[in-house]
Amino acid sequence: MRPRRSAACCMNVLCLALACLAASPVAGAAPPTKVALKGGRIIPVVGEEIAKGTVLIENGKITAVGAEVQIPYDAMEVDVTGKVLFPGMIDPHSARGLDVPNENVPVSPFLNVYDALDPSKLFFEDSLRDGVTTVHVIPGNNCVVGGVSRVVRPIGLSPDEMTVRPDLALKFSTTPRGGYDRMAQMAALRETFAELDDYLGRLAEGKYEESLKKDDRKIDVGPAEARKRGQPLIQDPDYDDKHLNLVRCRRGELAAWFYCGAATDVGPAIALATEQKLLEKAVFVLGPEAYKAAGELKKAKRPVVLDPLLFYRERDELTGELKETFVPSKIADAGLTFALQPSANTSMAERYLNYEAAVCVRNGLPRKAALEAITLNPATILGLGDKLGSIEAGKTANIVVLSGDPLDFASWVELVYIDGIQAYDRQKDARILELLKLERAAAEKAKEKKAAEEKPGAVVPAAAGEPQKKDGDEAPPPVEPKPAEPEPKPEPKKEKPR
Amino acid sequence: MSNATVRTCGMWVAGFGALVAIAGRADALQTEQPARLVIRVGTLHIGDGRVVQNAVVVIENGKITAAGEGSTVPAGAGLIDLPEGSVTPGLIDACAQIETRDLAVTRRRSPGGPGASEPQRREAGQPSALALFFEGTHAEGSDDEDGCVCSGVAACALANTHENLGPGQICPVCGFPAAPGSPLARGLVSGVAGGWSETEASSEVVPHTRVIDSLSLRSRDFDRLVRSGVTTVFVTPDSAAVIGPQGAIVRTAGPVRDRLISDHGAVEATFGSDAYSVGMGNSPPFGRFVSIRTRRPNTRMGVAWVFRKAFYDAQRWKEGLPVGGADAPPPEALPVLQQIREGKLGLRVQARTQPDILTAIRLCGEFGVGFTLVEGTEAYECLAELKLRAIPVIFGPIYDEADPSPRLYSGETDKSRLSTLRDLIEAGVPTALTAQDLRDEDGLARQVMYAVRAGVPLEKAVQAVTQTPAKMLGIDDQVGTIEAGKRADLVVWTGKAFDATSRLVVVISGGQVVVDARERAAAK
Repeated sequence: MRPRRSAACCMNVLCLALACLAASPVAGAAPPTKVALKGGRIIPVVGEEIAKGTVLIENGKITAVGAEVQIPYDAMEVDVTGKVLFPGMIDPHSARGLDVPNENVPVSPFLNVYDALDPSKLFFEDSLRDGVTTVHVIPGNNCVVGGVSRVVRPIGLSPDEMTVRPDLALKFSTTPRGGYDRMAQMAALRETFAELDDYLGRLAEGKYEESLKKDDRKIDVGPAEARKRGQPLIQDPDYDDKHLNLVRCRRGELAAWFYCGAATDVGPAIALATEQKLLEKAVFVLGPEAYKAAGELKKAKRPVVLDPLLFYRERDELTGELKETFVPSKIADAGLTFALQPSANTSMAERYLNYEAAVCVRNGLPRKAALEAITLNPATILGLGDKLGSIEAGKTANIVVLSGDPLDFASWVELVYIDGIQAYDRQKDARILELLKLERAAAEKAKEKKAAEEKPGAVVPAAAGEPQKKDGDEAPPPVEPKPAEPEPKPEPKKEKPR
Repeated sequence: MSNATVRTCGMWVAGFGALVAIAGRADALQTEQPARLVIRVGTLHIGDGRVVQNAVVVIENGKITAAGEGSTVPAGAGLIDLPEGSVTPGLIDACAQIETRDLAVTRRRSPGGPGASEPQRREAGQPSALALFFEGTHAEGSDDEDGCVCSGVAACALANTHENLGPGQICPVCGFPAAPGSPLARGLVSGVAGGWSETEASSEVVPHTRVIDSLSLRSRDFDRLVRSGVTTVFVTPDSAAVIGPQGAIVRTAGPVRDRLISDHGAVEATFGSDAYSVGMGNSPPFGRFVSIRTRRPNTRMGVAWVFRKAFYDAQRWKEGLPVGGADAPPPEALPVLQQIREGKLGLRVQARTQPDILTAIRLCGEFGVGFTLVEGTEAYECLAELKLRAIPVIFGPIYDEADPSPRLYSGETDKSRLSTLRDLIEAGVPTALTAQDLRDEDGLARQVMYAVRAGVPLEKAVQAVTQTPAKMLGIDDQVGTIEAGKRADLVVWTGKAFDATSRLVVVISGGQVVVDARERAAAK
């Protein structure tokens, strides 16, 4: 299955990427600067729903939203009557845009996803297809210190073209990476920062000594004083790659994203973030069981990204009784800001962020909270709340046109606009048309119609969807139905004597 | 079926009826449920394609006594009142794979920590132990965030099984070939049909054996099924044998005596690569002598030959001719095969790819044997053939390669399409939908959602998990639709049935409320 998929996908990605390129501003062919999506039901996430309205896009930004919007004469009008406009969904945490999620070096703050971002990954094509317009690409959870992340759009032929926000966060994990236990994991994390402090001291000392050299003086104070005096002399180019990103993280230039796979990993993560003064910009990525530490997270007052597995099931060790917990409810009860993340590993339903939101509603969360968890909340968590996550004037024109309500599983993503550019059209998505065999069905219908036209008076074949009354009626008593007419046994062929 | 068997069965059924009555009463007293239960909902899905708005269903003594439009509730009856809600018949999975062993309870500090058994991991939706164990090793091309690609040889050195594998062979433990760089996907293989097999391995032709004999009715798999609205299942054997054991039809809930509907369901045959790659596998152990565990066949040709030889020998047996040869079926299998030929016992054939489906049609045609196609991933390629020969299909599960790992071990490159169920139904092929080994959130209800998403009208999709499988199993006089006189197997939903935002609140089996999540739904 896999080889076929990857081959077909590459072609698809290429086609899609080429299509995107054709429409993308960097490629030259100028897209319409003004687009009006009119007649659709608008779910802006912020503010009231508009039953039938228009969204006006100018130069990649939303300039007007409402039931009555004056459409400029030179705007390209797109009729989306009967469709639903929803903000482009945001994948808050994914390593799937990378060729490999984690480097084999446990402490690798010098890495940047920029170098491994692969625009031809099927993942980006799928994101687009599933209505995701922004992806936070970040190293995987199997690390001690992962590397620097980046926020991208799922269109473009190079990491540069894709970039929305470079260098957003540094990844940490308090859950043991493969081959480590918790002691080793925490020791490695502490060692990282202890080594950083040591390095900074030595660097400062060196800088002070260097500054004295100009005046032909030798170091005249103790190491502590020299370090103190040398500190202001350090400039960014002085740091080596390994330490620069840790320094930037401490300065608040990079957010600190902690992976906590279990509840027991949350406490150490908060403690470390507090100790290293990273808490202010910390985000906690939780495993399913980590909801049990909701109290601690509440005290830390930091947002969280939930595991794609929304249920946590465990058996009582003695009775064997199954206990099922719906994680988002626990997190919402604790008053935490949370974002949902899609998964390709569980099934094809959890792949859709809007399905995950629907599961939240099914299990008791208010509709508003569920919709925010896939749009506005991740935007806020990424620090892009002023640009993304809702359909409001002034925000980036990332809009998904759905065939129905986002929480209805039967709804399909019809069109996707990213920065006001039409980046996806389901009618042109060869892969989904093949999976649903829509193209073939359309061709057959056209053929039938043509045949009927050619033979006037000929009976048009009845609709194929008509219910069949015989449906299994022929089932003989014990169990399975038998065919009405079993094939006659072929006569054994006799060899002719030669 | 021999006369003796018929007689035994008749007696059994008579006794069974008496026991049902006793057990039903005893249970009603125990749980103090009212004798008469009324369900009032916004939408009633009868199961045969009809829908009634603002409906009432009346249940008395485990049976449905009235179902239809209305709002009056008789006095003294228990009431489940959900004006926004809907009710469907209890779901029927016509091809469920049941975890026959009880899941062991182990200590587990953190999710994904060592110590959890494979079934437990699957239940918790966690990556497999092997995937976790080798999380640290990486190779190029992984699409997996936490897990990774690693060498199958390395992985199963742990399980001490890869030493027996030759190049290209499938490891029965991890389900992956020994070749380095094979993807060790998470979850390994689901259900009984995974690396492990429960099918008798002494021969490729074992239709005389019965799944019921290795089935635990208290398997927790049944809890999981009933929680997701499935009230009746055909427990299918796995696909390790060319002509496998007979399945069983059981209820997922209720008093134990009431659970078994049939202990001699259809025989499951397998075409394609499963027959020689599932279970111990049929290839001789690498570097060792051929042992008792080594079987034939090893190719699709071989599978077809074993199937043909079995039915040929059954014919010879009937004619009183001697039976023998390398691949001769065991003597006990011959009368059972003859029963299948005479239409007294059902035959199912699992085939996924188009060539395998066509092989099944051809071979069964040779012997005039009717069959039901199971799984039928590429059935959309053979609609005309299936329709022409009136072959019913138990289709599923629907998937789009998002996670092919459960089927990866088969090595079959089937081309799955989301629209296959729609095409089958549109072509007029009687089709039931199955989730096979998928459970809970991922279970049969979601299969219906996939079907609806791919363009199957909701009513047709509901029919494919209620009335159609009931007919296929020959139990449509008892279950499958909500009509007066039928057994009260019902599922109540908070909103539209099979909608992503509505929840399954009450499951009723034989008039007894077996799942009640109303308080939880109300608490919100």
